[in-house]
Amino acid sequence: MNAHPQPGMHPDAEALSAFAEQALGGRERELVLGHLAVCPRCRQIVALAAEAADVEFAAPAQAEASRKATRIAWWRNWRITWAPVAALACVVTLAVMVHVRRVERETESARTAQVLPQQQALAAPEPRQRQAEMAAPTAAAPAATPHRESAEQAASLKEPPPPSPQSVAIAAFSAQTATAPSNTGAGGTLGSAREGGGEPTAPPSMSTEAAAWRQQPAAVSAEQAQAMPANERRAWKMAAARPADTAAQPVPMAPAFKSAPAPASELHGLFAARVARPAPLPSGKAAVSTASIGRKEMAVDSTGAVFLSLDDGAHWSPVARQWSGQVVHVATKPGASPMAAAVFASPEAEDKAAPLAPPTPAVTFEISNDKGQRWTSADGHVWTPE
Amino acid sequence: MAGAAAAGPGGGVVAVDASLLDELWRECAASAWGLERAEFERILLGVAAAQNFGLAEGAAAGHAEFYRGLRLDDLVLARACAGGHERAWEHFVAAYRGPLTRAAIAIAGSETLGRELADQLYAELYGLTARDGKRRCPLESYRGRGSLMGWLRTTLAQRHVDRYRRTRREEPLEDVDAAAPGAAAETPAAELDALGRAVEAAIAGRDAEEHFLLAAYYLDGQTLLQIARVLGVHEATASRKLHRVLGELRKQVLRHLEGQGLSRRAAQEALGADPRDLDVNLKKLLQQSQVDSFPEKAAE
Repeated sequence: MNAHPQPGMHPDAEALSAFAEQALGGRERELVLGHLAVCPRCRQIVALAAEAADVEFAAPAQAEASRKATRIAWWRNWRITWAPVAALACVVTLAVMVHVRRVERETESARTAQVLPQQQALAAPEPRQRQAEMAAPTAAAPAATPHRESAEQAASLKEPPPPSPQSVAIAAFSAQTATAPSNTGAGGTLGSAREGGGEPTAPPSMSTEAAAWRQQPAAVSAEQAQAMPANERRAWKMAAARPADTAAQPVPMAPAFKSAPAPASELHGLFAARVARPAPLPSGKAAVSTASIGRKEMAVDSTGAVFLSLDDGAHWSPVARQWSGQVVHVATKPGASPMAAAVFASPEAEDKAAPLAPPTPAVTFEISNDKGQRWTSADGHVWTPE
Repeated sequence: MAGAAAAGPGGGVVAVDASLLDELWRECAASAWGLERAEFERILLGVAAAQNFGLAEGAAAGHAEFYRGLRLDDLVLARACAGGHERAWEHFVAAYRGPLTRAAIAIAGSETLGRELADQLYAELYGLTARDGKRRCPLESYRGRGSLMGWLRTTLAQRHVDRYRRTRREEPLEDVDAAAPGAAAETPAAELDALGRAVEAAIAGRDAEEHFLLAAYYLDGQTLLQIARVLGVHEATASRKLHRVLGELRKQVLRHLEGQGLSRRAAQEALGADPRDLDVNLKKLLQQSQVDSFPEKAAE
């Protein structure tokens, strides 16, 4: 059997193909359809040919679909790769952040390492002053000793146990904070110590320097106070009356606080709040040294710029440069500034000022530059060289 | 265009109108395959004569539409290939070799059998077979009524079905249509005879398309989609036609039964008879009811 016109009973391939393609006329179609109705062979041929045609027509559609599927697969692949890409991006971001923080930390620690020795050197009292301070307690020591012991006993009963010795910064920090509980009447207050004839005590954890800082206001004995000039005596009285305000706060570097925070029991009252609150300076730099008198607060940043705050560090204003070199340290200095001394030296001024206005603080700010030169100021605005 | 081709007294085609021939010649670009104009006209006349313009036998008329309805591009390519034109063969191979192989694989349902089937037909098309010492090419039988690819697919299907049936004949016959044994006839024999006659009459009264529907669906087991594709209708249309045919057959059977003296109730009960009790060979009935419908057939 071949594709030639069938002389037998079956229509040839031409007729069946034309029938399947609807290319036959009405009469020819009826003839082929009639044959198909009775001929399973031709029905099968037509069905197979139609099926093959469907496959052939579906091939381009399948190719198109496969192309689309390929595109979809590409996008799907990208979707699948989103997860590792995102994870990789997160890892890279974290690594960069960690690196930046480490670099910042190292920079700050290096800066701290540069400034801290100078700060410690500046914070140390001068030999002459230290000698005077050492002489004064010696004279008052026999009378003060029993009171000191009783004060220490009272402190040991009322206060929590002292922390273990830590860094110098923590010790100095503790020394400053010791002024706060002194207001509560516990042993060691300047006023009570003076009234009791003793001297303020430092916690056992204090270093010698810190204790010296703390003992500075109390280093003046009653006899010395009597021998003081009027202006200095007034300043001494004010210092004694306002122990908290006169607390000199050579605050160590912020990283030192962060790395070795003092226990909450040590951070008494106001000072704890001050330490907890960072001091944002207008320069954006970290404060390397701060000191406060009452609500006034002075700060020196890492570039040597000096800032003054009148509201306990809430707002800062830069201080005009009136010194040479780079300021590296700010502290409070007991005793009247030259300006205050001039004021206090005038009896008229003393008599007039006393009832009207609060007395001028006897404690002044003092800044030191990198060459060891010092300037003092009573208000933080006007600075005079020492 | 009237009088495109003139029919001779005996219905033979004598010539193609010159203007129509020019138009068809330009359309199919037969010269690209090396065909001469006279040869092209001879091909057209041969196609028209073989199919009598698609008209009933004995009818003769000039039909430009018939010529215009031919797939002239495919026709001239097939004839050029049959004539051994090299460029035509190159074009044929480039355009049809791949689809031919894919169609063969789809028809055979197997990659190996499909490629074998395609290669066999391709060799035959190339004229490797000879009869009486003369090279024979099946492409000469292509007359352009359908597409050349459709003709190739149908030819492949013919080859595959014939080979399958030939090998099937060599297998032992199975008694597929054997009646179910032991089925007790609950319906009276008279009613069963009446039912058989009614079914024969009802089926005989259906037209060719309905016969094709019933045979393809119930005998060949084709799906409605396959039937719809052959008929060129939607699958839902084929389904509706099938249901309509079944409903009408049932009505006609009932009518025949009532015409043979059965009551309505008895006729409906007779329809509920077990089909295995019926002495009706539907396969034979469907396949022989219109045995005279195809004019080209002859006694097998």
